[in-house]
Amino acid sequence: MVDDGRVEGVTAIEVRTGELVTILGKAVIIATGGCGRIFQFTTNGWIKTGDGMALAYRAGVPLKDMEMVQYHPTLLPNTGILITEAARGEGGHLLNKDGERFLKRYVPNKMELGPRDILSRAEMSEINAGRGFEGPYGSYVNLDLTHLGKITIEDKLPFVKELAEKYLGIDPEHEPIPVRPGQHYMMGGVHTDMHGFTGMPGLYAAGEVACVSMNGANRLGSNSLTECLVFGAAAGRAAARYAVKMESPSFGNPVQGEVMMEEKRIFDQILKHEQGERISSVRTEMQNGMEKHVGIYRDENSLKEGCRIIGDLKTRLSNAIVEDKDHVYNTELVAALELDFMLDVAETIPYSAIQRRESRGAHYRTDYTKRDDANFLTHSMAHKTPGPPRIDYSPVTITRWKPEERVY
Amino acid sequence: MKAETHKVARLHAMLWGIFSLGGMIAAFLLPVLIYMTAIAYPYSLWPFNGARDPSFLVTGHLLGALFIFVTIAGSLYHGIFRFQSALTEVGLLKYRRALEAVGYFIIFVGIIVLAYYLVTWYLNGTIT
Amino acid sequence: MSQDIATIRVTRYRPEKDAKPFFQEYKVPYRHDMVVLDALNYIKAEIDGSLTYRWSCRMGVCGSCGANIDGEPKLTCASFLHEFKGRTITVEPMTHFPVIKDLVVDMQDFMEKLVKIKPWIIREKETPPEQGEYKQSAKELERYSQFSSCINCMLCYAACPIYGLNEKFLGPAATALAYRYIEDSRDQGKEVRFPIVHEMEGAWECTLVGECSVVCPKGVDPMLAIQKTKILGATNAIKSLLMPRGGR
Ligand code: SF4
Ligand code: FES
Repeated sequence: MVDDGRVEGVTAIEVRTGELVTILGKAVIIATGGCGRIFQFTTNGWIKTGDGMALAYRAGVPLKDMEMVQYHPTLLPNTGILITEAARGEGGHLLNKDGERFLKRYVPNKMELGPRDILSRAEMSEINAGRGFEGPYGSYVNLDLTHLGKITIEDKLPFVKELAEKYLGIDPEHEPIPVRPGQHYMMGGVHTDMHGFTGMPGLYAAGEVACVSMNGANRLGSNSLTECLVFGAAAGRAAARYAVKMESPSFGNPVQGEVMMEEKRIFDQILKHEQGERISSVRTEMQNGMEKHVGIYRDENSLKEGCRIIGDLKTRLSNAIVEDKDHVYNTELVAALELDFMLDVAETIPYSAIQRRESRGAHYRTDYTKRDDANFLTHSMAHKTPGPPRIDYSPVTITRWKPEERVY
Repeated sequence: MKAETHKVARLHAMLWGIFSLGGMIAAFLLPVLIYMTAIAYPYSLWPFNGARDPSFLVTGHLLGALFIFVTIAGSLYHGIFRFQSALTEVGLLKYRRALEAVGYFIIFVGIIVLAYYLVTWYLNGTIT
Repeated sequence: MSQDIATIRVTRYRPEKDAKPFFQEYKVPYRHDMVVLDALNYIKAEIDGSLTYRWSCRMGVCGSCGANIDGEPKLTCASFLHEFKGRTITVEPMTHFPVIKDLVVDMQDFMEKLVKIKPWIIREKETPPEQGEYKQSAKELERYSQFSSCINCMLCYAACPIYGLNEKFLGPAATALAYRYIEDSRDQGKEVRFPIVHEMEGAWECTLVGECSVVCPKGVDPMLAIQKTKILGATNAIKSLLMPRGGR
């Protein structure tokens, strides 16, 4: 809820009763994590629907660097469950259909220890060249641990073994694990400064939802912890400092009006449709469309297609039905609201990506394969408008480390 | 936040300790007792090879008396404690407290009577 | 891979409409690697959007998807459909909890119990991070690590007959978590935590049924934790009897 440019709290749904509740606050910190569920294959929990990003975005804060989507090279193809990097660290091999360690063509010096984005792209290239395996959930390559032996697998990779056994019925000591790349992390997010401040008085963000720009265009493993612990604490302190000197907000206009509008939107619009398509089909098409057109490899045409699909789906969602009309624990309504958030967030990705006519970090354009520091050493900022997002740029602050060519 | 008060079940803790430790010791001693009374004595095996009067077990020595006491009291006590657990499990929670009280009463009376006799015998010099 | 059809019988109960719960049957096509949760998701997406259940991670980490499957408390995301081949699979809300809607149960009571045992490291005096970490050796970690793998799925409560009879019972997971901190070499909160677990409704209520440790999907052994807690309680009580003036 925004009053005169200042954030004064949130509206929420008490899922148990279906009631809309208003929570007034002097400051709000968004800590809702990423938005993996926008994509077909993701390592994220399936509740990661980008709600916090959408909230800030709708309130008027730009989403920064949204085209920077990190892919992880080793997901189980059926569920998207993550097989840890350690499996490769301990000496696991990635093999294509011909049993070849195909990485020698892509990162000969690092092989399986190469960076996530390059490995993910290598797998995709193999699959596109017809050297992947075909399974019921699409193409995949193999992660072979069989040569590591029982002891290494049991002592060092017990969780890998557990997951492969529990979710695939495969014993990694004897069989290779099918893997494919999938969405893992959003480098981009709600624009904040070093203190988690979004630029809108009273609104702070920290963690994956935020883009404090410590990850640049490509996050290094475990740096998400830094985002939570270091910048989470910083945001908390900044919000506290702000709150102490502010007056408590009151539940008057225009805040009250905003709540009424939200109430109308939910109960008189979303829940009122009696006929239409299911929200699940809209969601599936968004996930497939994002994966196909805004995924690992992108070009002008695919991104245009991505923009178009999301635009269409937005219209379709506004006519979709929520079958469950209950107040109590209406998870279908929650799913509809989440999808609404996801579409807003999803839209910023192809729109930001299409204008970045270069390849940088996790963002790879097949039509512009080189990095272009002269034009694009800059943050993209997606702003909400009544139409498609408006993208502009803000300068990059470079401190100690200068960007260099990546060689492996 | 309201202040927390927690009533530590100290008595129950001790009862449980006796149940657990006493039960274990009794479980070791019981076979010994059975050996003595059901096998060794009828067949005149050790320590009855001199056809000794079995009453020496209680009357002969302080240790003997203690042995009898621990075995009987420990077993009975373990039984009654386990019984109240079983009552809980089958859902007789309502009557548990009442039955428990009756059970404990019987047990403690039995144990005190047992102890009384052992002590008087000791004082009479029947036990040395 | 072949597609088989599973028949799933799910408890439905919508408090705004239904006087009491009833079963509804669904047919779900499935592959070898599909779990009960996939079936529920399929039903919600394709057949009946109003089916209500909780879940989040689909990988046995979040602990939100528990249900009674064919009478046994299990994670729906870790129960394969093919294991029930041919038979109708019955999915009901976890036993011993009040049902809110369909498979969703009220977890308020458990939440309160979790908070009650103070699941954090208590220090007599906190030292600022600048003065260094509270160090711990691998061996010290080993003493409690299994109890820290709990995902709060409440399956053990659904399996515990004692909890079913007396909801005041602190129960398996909460006691195991308390014990996890009692055993943690960095923790100095025994004085605070002992009274909580040594209440009559704490560990003592347990009669050693052991189902909790059987159903736990994460290999936690709550029964062991309860048993060890009892031993600590008994020794403390006897000590305090022998040395009434706070000897420890
Ligand atoms: S102890 Fe096991 S069964 Fe109980 S809540 Fe924790 S993970 Fe679930
Ligand atoms: S969905 Fe998270 S444990 Fe099953």
